Amino acid sequence: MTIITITTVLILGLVYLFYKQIRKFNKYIYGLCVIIGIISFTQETTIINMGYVGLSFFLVVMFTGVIDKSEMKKRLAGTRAELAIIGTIFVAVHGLKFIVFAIDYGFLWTAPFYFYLGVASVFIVIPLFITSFLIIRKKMKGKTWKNLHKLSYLFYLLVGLHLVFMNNDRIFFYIGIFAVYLITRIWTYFEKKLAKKPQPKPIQQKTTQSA
Amino acid sequence: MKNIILIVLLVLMLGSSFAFEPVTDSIDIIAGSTNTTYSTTIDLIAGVSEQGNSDSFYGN
Repeated sequence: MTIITITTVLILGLVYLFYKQIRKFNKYIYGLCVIIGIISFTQETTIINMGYVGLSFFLVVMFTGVIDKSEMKKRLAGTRAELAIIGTIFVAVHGLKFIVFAIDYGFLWTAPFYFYLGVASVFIVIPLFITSFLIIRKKMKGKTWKNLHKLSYLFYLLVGLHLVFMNNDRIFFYIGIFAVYLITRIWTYFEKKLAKKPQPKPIQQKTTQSA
Repeated sequence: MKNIILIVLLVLMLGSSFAFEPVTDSIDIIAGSTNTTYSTTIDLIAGVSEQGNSDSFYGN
């Protein structure tokens, strides 16, 4: 909980301060994250292998969609693709580490249910990851891209269930986070719906002109 | 309004995480060692350690 919260706050701070540089040097940042991910993969236990860092990135990405218009939202929305790509890199390291571990120790087909939820979420995130790159996104129609990225809700659901089904000491923390996200998501949805509702035109009073 | 609620919740989360999880355990996990706060099921499956004690060598 401490790791996730501190990492999330760090990410928010870094995005707020360096959003322009994150967008400008995104390819180098991706490369650096891949290197860090590979190094982490070779280690036994790291906060990346355990999924804490990947989760922190995705918490920021998730909540970017629900916060109100503000300077913070502008900076987060402008770097959302980059954060999602970096989050996916670290989530992939976490997923691969545990899949390899499961194969090594022979419990790939007898793992706890949350293991398979995690594996499913890794597979779901692959098309989202690929289409987050601008070069790929430009080749897609806007509506197609938007519809595909509705899969992100399924991804968040699978991640949430994966965490809750682990049934560890942090279960209420995870339930709380995803419950808050669900409530604010529904709140945002109705806010947008009400904002789109056409306002009734004011009745214009006809004035009679004297001859 | 929503932003204020989320900021308050984030601060509460940070506060409660420091209250319920020893900072030393968080530092340990960053350094790469699991402990009672951050114990992993994988450790138990692999037989590395259980309840903070090391298993005897060669799967005893």
